[in-house]
Amino acid sequence: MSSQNDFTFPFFYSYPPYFTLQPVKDTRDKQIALWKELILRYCRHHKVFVLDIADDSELFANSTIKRRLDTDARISILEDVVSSGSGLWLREKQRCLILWHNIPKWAEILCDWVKNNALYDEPMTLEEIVNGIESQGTEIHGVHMEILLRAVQHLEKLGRARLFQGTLDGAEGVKFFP
Amino acid sequence: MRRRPGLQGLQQRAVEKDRKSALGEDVARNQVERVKEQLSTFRSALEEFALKHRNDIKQNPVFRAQFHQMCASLGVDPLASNKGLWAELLGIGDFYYELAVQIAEACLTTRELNGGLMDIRDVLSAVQRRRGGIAERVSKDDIMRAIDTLKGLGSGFTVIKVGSHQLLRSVPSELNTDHNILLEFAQDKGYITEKEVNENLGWPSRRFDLVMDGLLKDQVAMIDDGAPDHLRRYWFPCLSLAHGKSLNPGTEG
Repeated sequence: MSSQNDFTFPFFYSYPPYFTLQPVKDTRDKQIALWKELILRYCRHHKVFVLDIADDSELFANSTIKRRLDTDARISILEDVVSSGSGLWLREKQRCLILWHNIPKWAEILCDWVKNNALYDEPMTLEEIVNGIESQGTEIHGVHMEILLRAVQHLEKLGRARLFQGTLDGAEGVKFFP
Repeated sequence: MRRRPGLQGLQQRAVEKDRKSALGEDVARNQVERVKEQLSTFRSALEEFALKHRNDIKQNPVFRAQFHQMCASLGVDPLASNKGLWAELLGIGDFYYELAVQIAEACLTTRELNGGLMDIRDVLSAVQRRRGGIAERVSKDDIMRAIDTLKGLGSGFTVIKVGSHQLLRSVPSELNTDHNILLEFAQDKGYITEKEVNENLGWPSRRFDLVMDGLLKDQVAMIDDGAPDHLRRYWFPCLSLAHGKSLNPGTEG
């Protein structure tokens, strides 16, 4: 996995009041925007796809200054992440899928990968795409299944992919078209 | 027998008076001339000096500050005009103009974070970062001078003193005395609690709430409900964002 060491937290992560939702709207808007930026950058760096509201990870809690975002603050921030298109609730106000690339961008990455590996018209399971050899060393490798599924559905709408149910094990398969 | 004043005597006295006052004027004129001469000698010496030490003045902030002091005591203001000999000689006008723009920039980009109040030291480090390593070094004295040139534009940039801190205010609203008292009280730790203010300044909570409400609305203060003692802390980003103890791990309780 990626190294933990080379991620630098922004200044506000060490400043206690940023861990309390601010009562004044302008200040709070700025605060939430800063948190959103941090969440996306952090998740992308550490390849974290899902944030659990209840999880006291270092992202939500800075043990050095003994401050943590409370549940309400976490929900407010993640709601903003979702409403700006950078997240999806997997379970409302509990588990949030983080999209540091939005779905069309993931679809584009997927397309490029298919093209570079000449995988057009090749039936593949979603599982293969995520964990197979072909995707190793690319952003596709290890991507959250929900993201992959949505990206494929996006491409389906554009006529560039088709989802099907595997005949043997019922696993979801996909074919891409140029 | 006493002589009465005659016509001749009166005339003589008038002539004498005229002569004396003419002499007096002469002397005064001479003195003014001499002072003028001295001054112009001073000025040309100063100009010569400036020309000779031009590089020092441009590059060494301490030297520059001393040069400004010297100029001030001679009644010369190198900043007054950008067209004069001074500007041509040193480019000082441009230097401060450029600095002023950088200061204004630093204030604007951090306004959302500090409510338009910024510690002069933070301004200095922001400007230095912005200028990079190759540009002439800048001192606090330079910052203050550049702010003075901003003032001339009616821009509302003012320096206020809060305890040992000097804060640059870039938004027009005024800090009243109560605001100032709280900021000063907070300057060591970067935050205050209502309890501390009540115990040390004797403020009833009504007064505290009123003043804090204003500071929160102006985005000069932020609340912090995560303290170990469960007392709400009010932080002032202008006091501690860049220099605060909060950025050094371990000092925050």
